[in-house]
Amino acid sequence: MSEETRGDNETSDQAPVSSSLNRRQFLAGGASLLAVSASAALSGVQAEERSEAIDPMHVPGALPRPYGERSPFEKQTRLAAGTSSTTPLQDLQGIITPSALHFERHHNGVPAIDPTRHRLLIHGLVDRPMIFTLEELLRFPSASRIAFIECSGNSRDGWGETHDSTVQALHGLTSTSEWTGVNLTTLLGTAHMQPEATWLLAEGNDAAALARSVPLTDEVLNEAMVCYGQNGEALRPEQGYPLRLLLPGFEGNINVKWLRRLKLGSAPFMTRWETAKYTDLMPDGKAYQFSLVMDAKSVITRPSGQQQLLPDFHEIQGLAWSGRGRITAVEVSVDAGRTWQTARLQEPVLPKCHTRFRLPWKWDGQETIIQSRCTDVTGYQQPTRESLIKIRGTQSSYHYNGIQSWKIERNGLVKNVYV
Amino acid sequence: MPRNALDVLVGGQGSSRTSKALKTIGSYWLYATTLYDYLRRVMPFNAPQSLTPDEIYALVAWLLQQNGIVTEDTVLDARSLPRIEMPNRNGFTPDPRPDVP
Repeated sequence: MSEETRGDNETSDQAPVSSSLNRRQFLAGGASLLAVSASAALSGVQAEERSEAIDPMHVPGALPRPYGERSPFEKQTRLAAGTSSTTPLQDLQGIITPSALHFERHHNGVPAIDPTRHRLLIHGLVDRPMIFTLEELLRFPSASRIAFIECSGNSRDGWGETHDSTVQALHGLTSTSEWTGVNLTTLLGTAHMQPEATWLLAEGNDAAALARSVPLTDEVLNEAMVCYGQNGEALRPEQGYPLRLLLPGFEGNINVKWLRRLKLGSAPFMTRWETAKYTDLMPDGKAYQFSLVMDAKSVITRPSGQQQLLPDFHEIQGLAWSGRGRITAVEVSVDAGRTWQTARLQEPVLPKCHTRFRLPWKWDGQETIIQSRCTDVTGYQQPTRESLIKIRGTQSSYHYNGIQSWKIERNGLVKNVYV
Repeated sequence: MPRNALDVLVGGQGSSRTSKALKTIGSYWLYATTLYDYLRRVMPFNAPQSLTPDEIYALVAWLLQQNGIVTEDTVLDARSLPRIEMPNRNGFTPDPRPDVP
């Protein structure tokens, strides 16, 4: 389906479609889509034998099934590259990322864990070292929140030379879920954490035995969770089944998956993942260490890289998020940054969470560049690429959050560019 | 560095202020003990946690020797390893953000 058709489909309830040609194309396309969707939902041979022309109102539909699947017409997938895969941001609706499309990053594969054999150990600077089964953790008071998780290597291509790409490949290492579990402080209280404990080592049960040091700041103690739930069901294996740490707003890697151990200490443990990796090298040769919070970022997801536009009405849509709290404003420029318009934030707008923004726009067919920039509750405004690189150089690898620019060429093709 | 390129382990000293920084054990790592910890957790990659402590110390010593940090006859153990001063020991600063005006 073309970008043009998608745009009409989603916005027809609130904005007039000025081109009757597009309206006709949409209606024709929509009708044929409806005609095939229900028959394709029928199973096996039966479905194959159905002609696409059969009206779903003239045949009985599919019977109930134990675990649902999306329509066979929906083809959005993660894009895998080595040890990570990206979320198709351009195809998402609202703010929740379907669990099956949540980005992945793992350091020696996704472990297969039997939850009945899994344990969580809490030890170190505690009066009562504890070992919990999953069943025991489920008996604690549960908590739930919607939060984004973003790999700190997300958008890292921004540090280098520009190249033709998609919003998924460039920025798709971020996803939002409803996470459910136990507040970390509840567990630390049960283990009687000692007052001199200021850091926590969190360790995963994967073939990387991935471990990160977590500073026990007020923010962490107030918000950290040990999670077993994602979007209403158990965590997906790729997101840490059966147990993961959630540190809302912190870089993805420290939200340790397949969590098996929490060790309380009085200093950081200096694992590879907070020394050799996930540190930001500056032009003066020094590197930022424990730069854990993900700063505010926004990207226009529609229209975005490698999509094709027709001159007409479009609703510009995108996502904005900040590890420091709520997004308070998103501005959009459709003239390469000369002027900025305030975009509408689509509810719900939650702290440390993907926030959808929208701006109606009529493309006149002329070449232009579109951009978004966001502001968070601290007053921080997303920087331009130029100002980011002026301070941090091009070698820091992580935490890139410069403004994304999409060039719309006269032929309607959208390209990733720097301004 | 291309996405997912394998890490280079040796060399790179003096590159961290250039536009082609090479982050290796010798040019970037803070602590020698981190190397032991990492090898113990995840190496060899296809059979993690199958090395004995002595094998891990030997690997650490070889990697440090290749980086010019210890000599060929150095013997490493739980007492000597933490005493090794890595070249980039003072190369890190706590997160100073917000840093971009």
